Amino acid sequence: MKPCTSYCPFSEILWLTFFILAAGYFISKRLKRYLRFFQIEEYNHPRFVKWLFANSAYDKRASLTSLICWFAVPLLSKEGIYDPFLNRYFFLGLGFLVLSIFEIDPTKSGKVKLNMTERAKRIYRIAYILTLAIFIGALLLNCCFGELNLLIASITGSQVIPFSLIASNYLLKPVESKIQSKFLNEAKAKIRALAPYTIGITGSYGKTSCKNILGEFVGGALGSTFVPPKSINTSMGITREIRERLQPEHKYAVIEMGAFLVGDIKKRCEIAPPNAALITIVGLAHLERFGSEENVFLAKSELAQALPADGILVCNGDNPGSRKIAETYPSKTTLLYGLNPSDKSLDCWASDVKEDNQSGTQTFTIHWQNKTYQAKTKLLGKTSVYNIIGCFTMACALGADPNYLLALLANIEPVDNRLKIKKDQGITYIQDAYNSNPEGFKSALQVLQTAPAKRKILLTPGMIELGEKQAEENKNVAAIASEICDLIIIVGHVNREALLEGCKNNKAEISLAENRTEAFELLKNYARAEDAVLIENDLPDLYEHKESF
Amino acid sequence: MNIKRVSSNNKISVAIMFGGRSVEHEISIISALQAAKYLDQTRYQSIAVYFAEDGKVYSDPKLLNKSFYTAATFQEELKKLLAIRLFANPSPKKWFSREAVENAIKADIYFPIFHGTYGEDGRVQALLELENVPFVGSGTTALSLAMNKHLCKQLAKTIDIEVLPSLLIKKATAKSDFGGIISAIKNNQYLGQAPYFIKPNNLGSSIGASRAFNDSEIGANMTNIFRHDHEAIVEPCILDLMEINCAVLDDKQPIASVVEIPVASAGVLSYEDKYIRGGKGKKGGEGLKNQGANVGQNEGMAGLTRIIDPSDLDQSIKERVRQWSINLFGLLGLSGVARFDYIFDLTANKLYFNEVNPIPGSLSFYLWEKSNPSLLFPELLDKLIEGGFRNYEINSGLQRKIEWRALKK
Repeated sequence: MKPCTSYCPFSEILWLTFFILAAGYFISKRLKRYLRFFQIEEYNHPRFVKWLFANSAYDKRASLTSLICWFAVPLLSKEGIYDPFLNRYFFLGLGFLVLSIFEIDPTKSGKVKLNMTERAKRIYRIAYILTLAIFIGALLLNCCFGELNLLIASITGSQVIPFSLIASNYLLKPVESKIQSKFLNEAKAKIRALAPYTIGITGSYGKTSCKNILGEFVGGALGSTFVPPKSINTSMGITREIRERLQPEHKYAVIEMGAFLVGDIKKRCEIAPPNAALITIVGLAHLERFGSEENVFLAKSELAQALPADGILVCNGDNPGSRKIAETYPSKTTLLYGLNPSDKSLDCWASDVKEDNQSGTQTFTIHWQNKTYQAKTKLLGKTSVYNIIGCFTMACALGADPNYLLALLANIEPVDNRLKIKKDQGITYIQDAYNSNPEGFKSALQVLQTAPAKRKILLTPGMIELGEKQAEENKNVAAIASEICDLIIIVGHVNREALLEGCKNNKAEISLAENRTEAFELLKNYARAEDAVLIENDLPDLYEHKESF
Repeated sequence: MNIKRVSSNNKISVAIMFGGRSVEHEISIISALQAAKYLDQTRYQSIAVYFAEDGKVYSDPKLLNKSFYTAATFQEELKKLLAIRLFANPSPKKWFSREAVENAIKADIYFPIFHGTYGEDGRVQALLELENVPFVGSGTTALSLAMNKHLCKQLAKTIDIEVLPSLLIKKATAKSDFGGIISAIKNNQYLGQAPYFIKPNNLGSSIGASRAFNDSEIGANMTNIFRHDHEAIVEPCILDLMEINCAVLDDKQPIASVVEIPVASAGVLSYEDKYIRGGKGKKGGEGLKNQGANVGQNEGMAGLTRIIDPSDLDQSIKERVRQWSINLFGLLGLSGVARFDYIFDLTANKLYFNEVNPIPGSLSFYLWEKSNPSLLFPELLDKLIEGGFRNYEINSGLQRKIEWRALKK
């Protein structure tokens, strides 16, 4: 069927232009949406593709709309009536425009927003060109099929979008590589030139908490200290912080070093060579990426191995993995901390831990070098006690006055979303929303248990990234939680089964929520004054609600 | 007075300098914008000179609008403005080179309106003195003394002004033996028992000044202060107190304004509660959280209420406040306008000098309006500027000729 516009060749070009522009606009918006998830997966191709298929995130809307628009035109037109708008170019174009309205802007909405960094912009631009090229190519190549080419191009163009991001990233690899190398070398040179005394922190859990505490201790008691903010602990993150924020006046640097694979920490140490190391816990975090517990041990021990001969190594004596690192790779000064006073091998230990729920603080006694010190802190939970004495040991080993450290401790506030207490309308909220782990979860449950409240509520999606141990660990904490709580709200499906399994035998009431929004709605309707609510492990958008494509 | 005018329209150009590397940066903006607004436009030409957080100095008429700072795009807009050097390049390159475009301002007189470090402490004034230009307010020496609370109190004692006993703690000493410091405080016979009041020695009082009831609080307060200052002073804490302030202006002779009783906006205090009738104490309400502090987030703005020239306050106390202020103003060698803050212990019925603010918030204009004779803000500014030129003449009159003798021997 020939389009009615065949009478007027100029208008044909007009409609074609309209169609291409509309499709182009849609592509630009859809590309950004995919880019956001690509960025969350750190531009990792296999993980992005896995996400794509796990969430059925390949295009459905645009393809479906194009099909409808394409078939609608002949059904609507009547013979001989000249209606300039009744043509496939216009309909398909209109379809794209309407769809574009429904494409949300990921730079503005969503829990983890798209951040248009220089790299993101590069990937976006190349991907856009690629997609357009494929789209127009499909348009031209299929000309022999008449107007079918419009449909083919529309569907091809829509489907190819996430893959053009991958292709773009691939093409840009040499460019990114070169840029990253340059940054890396600049950072390496800078930190060696300025030579602050560097303390590296690693461990499966507690890194960021320790970094914050140690940063306050060293900065307050010893000298100007460079502390990267938030949880920046990757090579690129550390590189960027050094380049942008390390200053000549910094005498010390406290750097958190994260790892997903064996060799990761070694790389971080090559960027920022440590003079001292604090190893919190060798545990189960990111087990699925490491592959095995043995690998976790090897990875963390790289920090100890990177120390110079006269370095200081501080390890958690109560954690077998951390202790083993101290025994296997000791340094000139090797110190152990823990909570067990009968363990004579501990250099620093804490005892008499008491919580004061009215004031939201806990007190304990620190034993160090044959003296005792009374500590008081707003950081709650047993894990905090470990973090504090670990940092205390390190700071004292660096020459800080113990009493001054305790005075500094009194001012340290809990970071948002890490066992932070908020009271609202008589309800006590314990926000422990950040990337939970088994020890942290149990610690938080203890805090919930001792909170002065009539009813106890737990809201959680469970813990993630624990590999093969994930189900078991979630089941364990659920068992503990069901002894304490009156209500447990399970968010999402990821750990639903495991958590339910753990709650089987106890009195706790269970509510199931599809996503975070629903969970908080449930909470709002249930909770009343004199309740205590523990919000454990609030996960990013990926687990929030499924976007549709 | 022979003023060399640089502006072409016969007005005196006044460079209002504000902002600065201080925790009271924002307050300085408020004070400066107020002054710019009330400066007599027929006689003076204002030039804004803003010392930004990034260390650069910017000059542009937009900087005199409050909305410029509160806009969400403030940082970006700021960077678009002309960053200047305060004084012209003494050896400019040839006229056709880029440096020929002088990013320098030239004013008849400079008016520093800073609060806190790097502005109220004499550092900017030192620069102005070095360049030998007229400026408003006190000189470097007077300011460095005035901003050091401990030294100020020692000096006040020498002219029989009552002050609370205080202990100066240095950060380096505290860091090396904090336990020792706590003992020193608790065993000090002049400080007595807790509670104590701990403040930074060299900053304005709006940061870190607080009460400490036990060892833990002493530690927390002091380490907090040491983040911003390298010295802290510890005084006994007066629980039942009333603040009394007054301003002094260098009008050829120092003259004192009426007194005021600032009232913390956070408290639910009734004004009547705070009065004393004839020395017999009616309870003056709880001691203010910031003993002697400016409570100053909105100094001079609606946030802080005050009772100016309270009719129920004993006249002898008012006179003592004013006379002590004038005496101390003279001893320190201050100029321009300064505000003197006092604490009145309602239980013991004793007046103590607390601290001086050598560049007070809003230039204390609200005190002068109610004084006798009353000075409205534009007139106050006139006098301040006249004072600046007067000081300049006195200084330029001094002989500083170099005699080439020692080298030639």
